[in-house]
Amino acid sequence: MSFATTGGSFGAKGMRAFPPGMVWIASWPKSGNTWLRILLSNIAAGKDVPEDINKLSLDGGMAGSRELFERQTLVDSFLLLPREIEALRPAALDAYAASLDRATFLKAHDAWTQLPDGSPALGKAARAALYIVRDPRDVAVSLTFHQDIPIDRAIEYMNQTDRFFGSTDTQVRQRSNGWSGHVRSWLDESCLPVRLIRYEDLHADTDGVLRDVLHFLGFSFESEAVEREEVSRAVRHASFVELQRQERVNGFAERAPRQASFFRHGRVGDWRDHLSVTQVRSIESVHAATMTRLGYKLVTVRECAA
Amino acid sequence: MELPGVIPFPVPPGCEDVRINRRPVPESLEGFTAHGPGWELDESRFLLRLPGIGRFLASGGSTLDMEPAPEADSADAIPFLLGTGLGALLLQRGGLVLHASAVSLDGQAYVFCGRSGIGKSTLAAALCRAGCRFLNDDVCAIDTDGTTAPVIWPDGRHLKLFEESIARLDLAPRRRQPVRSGIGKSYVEPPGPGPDGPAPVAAIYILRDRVLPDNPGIERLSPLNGAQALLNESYRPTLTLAMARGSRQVAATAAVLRHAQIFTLTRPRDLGILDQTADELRHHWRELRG
Repeated sequence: MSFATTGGSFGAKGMRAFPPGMVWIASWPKSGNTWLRILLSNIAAGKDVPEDINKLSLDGGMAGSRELFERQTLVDSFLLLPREIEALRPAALDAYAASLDRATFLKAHDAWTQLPDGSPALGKAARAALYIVRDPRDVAVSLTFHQDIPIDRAIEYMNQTDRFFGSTDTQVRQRSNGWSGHVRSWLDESCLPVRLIRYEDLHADTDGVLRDVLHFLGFSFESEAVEREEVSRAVRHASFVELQRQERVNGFAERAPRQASFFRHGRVGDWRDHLSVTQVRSIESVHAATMTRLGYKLVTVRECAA
Repeated sequence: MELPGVIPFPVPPGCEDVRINRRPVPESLEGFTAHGPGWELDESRFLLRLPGIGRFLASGGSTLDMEPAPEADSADAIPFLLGTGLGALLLQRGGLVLHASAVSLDGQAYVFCGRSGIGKSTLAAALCRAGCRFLNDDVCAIDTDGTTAPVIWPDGRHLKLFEESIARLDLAPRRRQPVRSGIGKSYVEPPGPGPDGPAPVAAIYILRDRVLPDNPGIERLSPLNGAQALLNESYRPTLTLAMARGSRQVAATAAVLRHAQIFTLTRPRDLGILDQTADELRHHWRELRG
């Protein structure tokens, strides 16, 4: 199969390459970040069989990776205090980006924040960001299953602005800013081109949204017909049924230790079967403005301007 | 200068292997040949700058200089001097330096490589508790002279362990100073018999987390994959590549591959199986000895 390389091109392994540079795939956890990476990887691989979810062809990793940090700074991250890591991290990420000669996608759960001197906490070297957002009521349910925690605790986590992700044996801590603060930080404050993707839109029209994402990234095919065919193939190879099948057979490296399965349902509106009215109100009362802005219909409080 | 975590050892004047000085360290190396965030190097020097902690300079494979930041407690700077600083100094000598812990049993050395936090020190502590001798932790230099088997010397330092590991291994009575305030790690005097000189390397294990259903246990790597693994598990691969001393590095790697076997050791992230892993390793060593 042939395709144009006005934006994309053949990579070193005969795969398709996205235009070079570092791109964030940013999101609050459990918002579809992994699914989006697998979709992009199936585009990059261009194979007749689905990508192995544990060995994606797409170059990249985790923005909070201790290994990435240590490879650049040469310092044992476990010897550093969290604020010392935060001070060194932008330079580490920029140095990592400078070392790349091809497209790299880094999964980020950090909010977009600044250091005390005003410089971006995630550095300045990324060329763009894909920001994937999901109805916070569904996020709360998914987080509950992922972390094996009570729903109220998941909601508390999303409502508080001074919490962190990570700080594990493989990840440094990442600022959350609360769910609304996280959304606003990427959409309003980051200093790079950001493409907003609603999980619900990706779920309803995966082909159409994925095509838009590819255009945003500067990846194009030789014809619209080839594009449709290739995008359709990638979507089939990253279907939830396929992802669940692979996890069932081979496991999934990103599954949390206490999580039964990473690819659980992926349903839109699952919260209606799991949240009480009080829990829905707890989310909506805190995030009404951001939810309204993103088109998530409120059911317990009045809609308000963002 | 007091060096927490270091075991005192009398050395006749003029016979020091490494001289450590507390004195001014330059902000930058003029004409550096490689650099990264907070570090620079040239042909014979490596400079590390850690804001709020200090600056460190390794020179000629024999001298370490430290200038703590004015606002810092100098004890906070020592772990970086003896970590990245000492690692860089050993790399300046041109040998093979691994990010690893090591123990010995019956005169043979066994090495455990892996990323920070994977459990190298804790596994070494568990093996020492089961009767092995402690050789080193975190920075592991392999001494190769090209003729005899590569050896590892005890590096005269304590283990660095998190509280959870200390509790799991009942090592609280051996706990010494905190490594740094606020990071939760302490120096721990290794259990088991004391050091008794260098030991030839018998086997090197690459530690891996078992997160998938496949490949638990110990698997031997081919020489080619073993050579690649030794580079990946070198002490700070970025620095190793930037400081590569050409044929000396290659010769050291070849010598290790001639005398030692390289394995992966894949196990779940679970401190509860430490003793089981130690037993499996001792069984594996008996098999290797035939």
